[in-house]
Amino acid sequence: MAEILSYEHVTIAYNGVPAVKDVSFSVNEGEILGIVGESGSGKSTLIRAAMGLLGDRGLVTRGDILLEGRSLVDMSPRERRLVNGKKLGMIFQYAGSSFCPIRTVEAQLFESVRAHEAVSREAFRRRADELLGKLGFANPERILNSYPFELSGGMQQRIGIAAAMYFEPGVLFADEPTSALDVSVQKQVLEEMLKVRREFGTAIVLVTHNIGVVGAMADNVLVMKDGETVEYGSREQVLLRPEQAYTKRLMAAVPRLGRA
Amino acid sequence: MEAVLAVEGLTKIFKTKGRADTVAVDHVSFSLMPGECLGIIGESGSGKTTLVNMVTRLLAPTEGCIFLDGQEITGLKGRELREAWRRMQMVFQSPAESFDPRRTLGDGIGESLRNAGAGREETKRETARLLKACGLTPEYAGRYPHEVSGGQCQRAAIARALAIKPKLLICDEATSSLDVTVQQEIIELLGRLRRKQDGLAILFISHDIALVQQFCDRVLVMYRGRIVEQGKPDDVIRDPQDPYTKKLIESIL
Repeated sequence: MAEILSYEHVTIAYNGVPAVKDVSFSVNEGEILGIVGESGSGKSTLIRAAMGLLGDRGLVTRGDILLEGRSLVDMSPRERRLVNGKKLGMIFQYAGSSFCPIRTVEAQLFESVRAHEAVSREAFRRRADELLGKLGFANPERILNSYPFELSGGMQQRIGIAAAMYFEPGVLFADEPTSALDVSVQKQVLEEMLKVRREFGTAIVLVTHNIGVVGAMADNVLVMKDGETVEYGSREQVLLRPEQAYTKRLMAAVPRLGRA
Repeated sequence: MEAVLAVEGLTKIFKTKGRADTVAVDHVSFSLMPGECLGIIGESGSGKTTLVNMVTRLLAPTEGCIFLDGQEITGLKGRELREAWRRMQMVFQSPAESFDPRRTLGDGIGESLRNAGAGREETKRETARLLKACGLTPEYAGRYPHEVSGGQCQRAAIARALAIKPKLLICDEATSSLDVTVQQEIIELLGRLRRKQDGLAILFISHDIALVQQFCDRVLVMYRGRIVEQGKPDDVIRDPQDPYTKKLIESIL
């Protein structure tokens, strides 16, 4: 599989204080990379940098982030609009709060699609129905006509994923997508992300502090602490045979269910 | 032996105009013995927090009784209720939010001591002792909530809860907002305190079943306001009887 996204010795600073130091990794088409670490380890900063969401004070000070060989650092707002949404999708911890509460899901999705291409309401509706069907929504019609607050947290999250997949981007960034959900709902959202990869071959960069989610989804795992890479390798190696002391400590701290 | 906490037929119905009534907690009964740690698990909306809010008398039950140390506290008011509160303390989910942002951690911990009649010097000494018992140094008494990490703040919250030597400690998702490594430290601290303070009973509310299995002697599973299953965590997890518990356990990664 071809490489689609790569981070090369990336250092990111807020107000001149480095939050991420010399991090390198690459993601192939259709690969799921899990980035784990504690709060403040810089894991969200990593994906925010690729999306251009660092704000006024954050800056990639060294290294480069490449999408299909093109740099994502210092992109003009104009270029950015062509990349975000079309080639890079993103879902947040609370998808529900990125929706406007007084407009229906359909109206908002239509608006965000129109920001990228001139499409008629009918064509949009056909495409949305098809997409939601593909992602296993039982009743797309009802969902599209709902207001965000009428949907459960898990459903809002699934809509967030569907919205991010409208243009079938090659890379989907997911920042703590299941952290606010109950375990049974978490499982549904997780299955939807796996479905996204199966249907569209999307590469997913999953940032989470939940080791269980990474264990269930990721191909490769990157462990971060204090802005630096602690360990990077296959899921089996990192989760089952960690080499670094910190990773060992992290894995030992995860409460595991004793079923046997 | 008498139960530290017993609730019988506790029910809370929320009434909203123009909508069907919400039965948040539906005839829940259980008891907690001295020294025991009882876990309550269930998904969001299952009624865990409503139950705890009734037990702590922060919310009036629609029906049912609450007994603390054999004394019925369901209808207590004023002085008698304050007396009951001395025997139970809470640790909340968001440590920083549970402290007054404009006062130091030491002020927060010392408040209940001073209310109990301790002098300034004694309060200071006792606050330092409590901080040490919870794995912090006495100088943390002078810090503000925003100056410490989440784990340190939760340690201070535990110190505050233990200040007046309660018989019952209620932890409502006390480790849910912490990183796993910090969560492990807090759980170890609670275990240590439990061994040290003989007879301290803990009501441990969590949505993390694996954590409850690690820490609790007994577990109640709540679903839609009712207790659907209870028993030793190992038994419930290995051989769940209720269909909801089965589904819950299957979804754990």
